[in-house]
Amino acid sequence: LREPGSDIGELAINGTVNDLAMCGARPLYLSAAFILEEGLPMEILWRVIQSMQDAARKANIQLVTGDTKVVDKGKGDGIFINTAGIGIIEYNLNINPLSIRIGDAVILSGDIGRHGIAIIAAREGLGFETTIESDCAPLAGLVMELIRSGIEIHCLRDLTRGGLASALVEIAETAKVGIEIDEKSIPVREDVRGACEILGFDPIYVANEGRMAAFVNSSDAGRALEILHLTPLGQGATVIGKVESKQPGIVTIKSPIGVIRIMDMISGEQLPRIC
Amino acid sequence: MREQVRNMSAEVIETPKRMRIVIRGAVQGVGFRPFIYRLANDLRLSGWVKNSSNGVAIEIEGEKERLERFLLRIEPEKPPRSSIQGLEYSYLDPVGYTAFEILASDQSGAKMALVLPDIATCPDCLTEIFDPDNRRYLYPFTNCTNCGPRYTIITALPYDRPDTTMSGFTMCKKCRAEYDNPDNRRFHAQPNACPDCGPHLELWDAEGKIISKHHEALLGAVDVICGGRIVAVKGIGGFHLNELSSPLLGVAWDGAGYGLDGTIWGGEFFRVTEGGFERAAYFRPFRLPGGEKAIKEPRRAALAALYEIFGDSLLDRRDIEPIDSFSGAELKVLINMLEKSINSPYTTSAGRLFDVVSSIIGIRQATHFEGQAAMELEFLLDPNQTTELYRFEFEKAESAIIVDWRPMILDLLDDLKSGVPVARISAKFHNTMSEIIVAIAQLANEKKVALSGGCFQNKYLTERTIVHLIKAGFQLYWHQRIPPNDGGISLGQAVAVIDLKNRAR
Repeated sequence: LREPGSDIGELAINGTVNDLAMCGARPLYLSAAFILEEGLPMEILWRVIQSMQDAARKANIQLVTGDTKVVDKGKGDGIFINTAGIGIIEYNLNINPLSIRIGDAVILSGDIGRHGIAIIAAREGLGFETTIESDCAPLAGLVMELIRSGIEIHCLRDLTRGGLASALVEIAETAKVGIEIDEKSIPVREDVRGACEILGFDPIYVANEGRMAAFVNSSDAGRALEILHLTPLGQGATVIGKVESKQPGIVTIKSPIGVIRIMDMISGEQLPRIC
Repeated sequence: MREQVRNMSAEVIETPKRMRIVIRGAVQGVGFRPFIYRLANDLRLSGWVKNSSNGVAIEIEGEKERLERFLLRIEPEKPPRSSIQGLEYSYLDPVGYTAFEILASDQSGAKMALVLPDIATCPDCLTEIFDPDNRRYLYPFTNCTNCGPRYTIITALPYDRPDTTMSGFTMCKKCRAEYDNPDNRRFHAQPNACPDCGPHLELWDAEGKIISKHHEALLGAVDVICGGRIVAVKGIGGFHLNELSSPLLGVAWDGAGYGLDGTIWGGEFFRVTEGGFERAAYFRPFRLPGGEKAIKEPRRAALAALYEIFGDSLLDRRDIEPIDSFSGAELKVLINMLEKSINSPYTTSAGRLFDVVSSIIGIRQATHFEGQAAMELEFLLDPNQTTELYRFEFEKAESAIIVDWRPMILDLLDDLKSGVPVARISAKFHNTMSEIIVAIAQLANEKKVALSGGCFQNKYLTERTIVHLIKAGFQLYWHQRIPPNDGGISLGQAVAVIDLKNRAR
């Protein structure tokens, strides 16, 4: 229910807020439905609701409706929260993979991998020496800043389960374009890198909850970075690659020593890529 | 009476006898027939020698005493690369051979001759290659009876030029003269070749157009590699399809491959029939903490294998090198990963067991390329060290046998503690792994056994296993024409697809 830097309540709000933001919409209203297991302590429910309220305030969104069901003991995993939201598209931008153009710059809004590592460390009690906090955050503010400044955004994608890699592969396949990524330009915190090292994970596949990839017209890339760097969430934003035409549907990643490999999508938990 | 005895003995000495000898072992492609030819001439004996599918067959005629001397000189004087596994002889009535000859090979008989692996170019040939006045100057395919390709070029046994990929190259006059001269070290060297009549190098571009030939091709390839590009190397062997249709026991030992049950296979014994296959036996599974990372770091596989034996108390086993190579914090996380099943898939891989042992005895904790730890473990092994084994146990599970490797690791740790040299530990480990195959083969009770997978690039493992299986009466198939690693597996996959398509029709 709770890991350093986030809890289920905050995740429930930000998940939907970010879904709306990735369409270029300004989130306005949310509904929340709870499924509670019989015997759930009231103080836990109260804490979750408190953090939902905090998250909603931060994301500038109103929780307007909801529902609660209680299931028998043993029939639910403590607490389930289902949220849905409504937002408004105020600008005339067609933000989706099909708007991507050859030459577009790929911008990453900050360092990756924190959420996934925080969850696995907290849930499994792995015994890391330092505490890694989740990156869970609402992205709507960032997106609104970019749109208001007139940045020509072609596509947005929040990086959730499956990480940066899965998001990019999905986009390349949908848009039928190639994407070239430079691995050394991808920010990863040292503690996250160390944890990934011992766990055998590649940070580009680790889940995030407050990071996005933005595809913008290459001539706007510099200005977009300036704008992002002024926001608390976008301080670590970088250009990590570009869209190209040579290999439609394929994402390639160049390692720090110059080896280019194809980034593939993994499903479910991270498994070793063998054979 | 005395007179009579003398007459009898005189008769024994003077009457020529004919002896028939069959020699089994690694006796083809190593200059064995030329050796027999010279030995027979030296002792003024007549008859013939030929390659047979069993090895080498000899008929030799002369005085009994000289025949016996002939017999006794074979083992101590045999060519250095040969190895004799069995020699049988019988006396026959003489037929009156007048000379000693090398005959064309016999095609009948069960194919049991051991074919030697390819042998690195010998010092004599190297001297020729770098001698500007030699007709083989800078010729990369130079070879003689002491070196050169063997199983790579063989298309059928016995080992004779018409049944090798060299059959398409007709020897020039000079090469032919060497091949026919019993005193030449290329006498009956099956792949004998020179720049005039043998294969040559070609460097192709991606479209298959020839960029350069001969020595320029080699230099060109060097330039390409130095320029950071890739050269695909096709050897002299080429690939041919392997035909096995009757039931057999397939031993598939590899580094890692996905299995049908979500674990990583690689130490499997399959009962293969026309209708499909079933897993007959496999190694007791252990985890790979960090997945692919554990393949690059044998110490992780070692930690996980030791965890199967010692559990949590492993934290106190700093006396074992892989355990000591981790910090306390790392150990805690890794053991948590094992306990909580985090990115720690199970494996039954034999290749990973080689890694485990390589790590435990302190040879290699992290690798730069796949198979490195296992190769280093093989290379330090002294084949003359020992025939001893470690313990292993079989456990019956549903329809398959589980090979428990834990007793082997425990024995090995005891050896390590009592200061047994690692070369000897490696030999004992190799012997054990090989013996496991023999024992499973006996339990599985299939006449035919096929060895496949990257592990059988290990020369010692493969040869010991082959010898012991043949001794135990099994009919054996292994990689003579197809590389046992991914090349072979890709080929297997291709064959399976063709097979499925044919069935669908």
